[in-house]
Amino acid sequence: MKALFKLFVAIWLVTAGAAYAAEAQPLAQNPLVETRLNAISENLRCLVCQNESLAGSRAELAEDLRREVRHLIEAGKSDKEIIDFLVSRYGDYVLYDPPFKSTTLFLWVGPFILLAGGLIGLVVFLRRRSRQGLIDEPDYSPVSTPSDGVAPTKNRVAGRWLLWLIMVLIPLGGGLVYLKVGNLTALNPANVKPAPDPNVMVARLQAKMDANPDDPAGWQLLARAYMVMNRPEDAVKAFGHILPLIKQEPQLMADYAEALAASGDLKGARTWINNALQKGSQDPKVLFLAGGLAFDEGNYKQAISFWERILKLVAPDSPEAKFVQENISEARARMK
Amino acid sequence: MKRFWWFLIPLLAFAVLVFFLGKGLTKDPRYVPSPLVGKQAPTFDLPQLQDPKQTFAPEDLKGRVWLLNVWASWCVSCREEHPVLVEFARTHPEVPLIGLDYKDQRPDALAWLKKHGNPYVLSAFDADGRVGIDYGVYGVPETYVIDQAGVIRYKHVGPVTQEVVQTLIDPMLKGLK
Repeated sequence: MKALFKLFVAIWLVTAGAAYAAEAQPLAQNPLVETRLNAISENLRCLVCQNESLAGSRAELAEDLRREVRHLIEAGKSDKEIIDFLVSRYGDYVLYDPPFKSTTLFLWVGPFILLAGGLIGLVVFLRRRSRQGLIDEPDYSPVSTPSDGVAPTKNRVAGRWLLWLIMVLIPLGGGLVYLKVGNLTALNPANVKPAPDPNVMVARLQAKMDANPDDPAGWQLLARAYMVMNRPEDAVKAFGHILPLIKQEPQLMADYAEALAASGDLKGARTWINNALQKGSQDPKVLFLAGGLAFDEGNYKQAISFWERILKLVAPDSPEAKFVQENISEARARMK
Repeated sequence: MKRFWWFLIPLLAFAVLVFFLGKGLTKDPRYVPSPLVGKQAPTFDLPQLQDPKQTFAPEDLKGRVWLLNVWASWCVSCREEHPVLVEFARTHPEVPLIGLDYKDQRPDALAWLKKHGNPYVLSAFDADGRVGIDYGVYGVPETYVIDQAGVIRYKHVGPVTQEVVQTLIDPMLKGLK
């Protein structure tokens, strides 16, 4: 039983290690992490090329920061924790959406102060005009003829109407513009940047795949997402839709075997790993699982030989190499 | 006459606007104020550039005022500030100048120091830039003044000039004594 547990830990680490190692092709490895990474980094500013977001920038620092954010996501940090991590180092400047606090008070309140000032000025100006009755008689000639006795009253009424009209129209216009281009939900701090719920996203993808099952790439994506979410049984089901494709690709065989092993079907996992080995696969994951299964059977010598082949494939000081090394020594210890 | 003053108000508002916009133009848009000033310098434990077996941690200099200068052999502006740092190290033997060699290759960095002179007591070697991120580094060179308690008192972004040493760093060092 301990050996089985060990295998599970191994599987988990290989999965995590693969996501870490495959920065060149991140989307295929872990769609959920990449989706969240994109959602977070869209709203952050790249400090080197300041008019680009962290998601869009190709600057080296942006790549480093994306790597950092990816690690934080994989470590299970919340969006807020990740954003705080960056703000504590680079300041509010990294945020495209500045927070409301004492130093940004004028930024947020300023426009409203200006609007209020303008309105007060307008009221004072128009009131004075109407109190004086009529300032520039010729200007009003289209409204009233000079010989008309009731002209002052009429003008006063017209001025007041104009005043009210402007006072209503300006805020109304502003509100309409905001409705059109603004972000109403962002007014409530609780709504800002809600974390995309992986469960909802995956459920949506599952529904899409059920409706339109003829999409091997979609099934692969779904299966990998289930593996990341620690739902191997569902992953096995998703892989089940693309068995013909799996039969051709040792890489997929490894993924499928991993899902089978994680869901408890060691026999199935063994079959697929053997298939992959017969195809001559040198994939570290295949070798690792082959070693793990051999270890589970008590065949430590074979396990070591599989694992030693991995060491030739990965960078000597990488976390994967270290972990494989630990497993080898464990197997050696058991042989005695 | 009263009407004249009314016309002056928009003019004044315009002048204020021009003043602030003009002031904005004179500022360096690449300068981002660091939230780290006034905070404890982030800790790290990195191998040294010259001797990878030895490490350096900011705690090693607790109780002293020191400078941390982020540099790299690939950084062009670092070459510009380098003579200033060499001069600083000569005239300020009481202030340890520590280098943080940021995202560099060891042979390149060593050759660079050999060619241009080494003003640093030692350089910590930050191969992947991880410590740089903790210090909020976004453009090399950057220089931090760290006090006896390990608090960052000042951060300078871009090459340190003789003028920066005289008008900013020296008064700050004097104040910290």
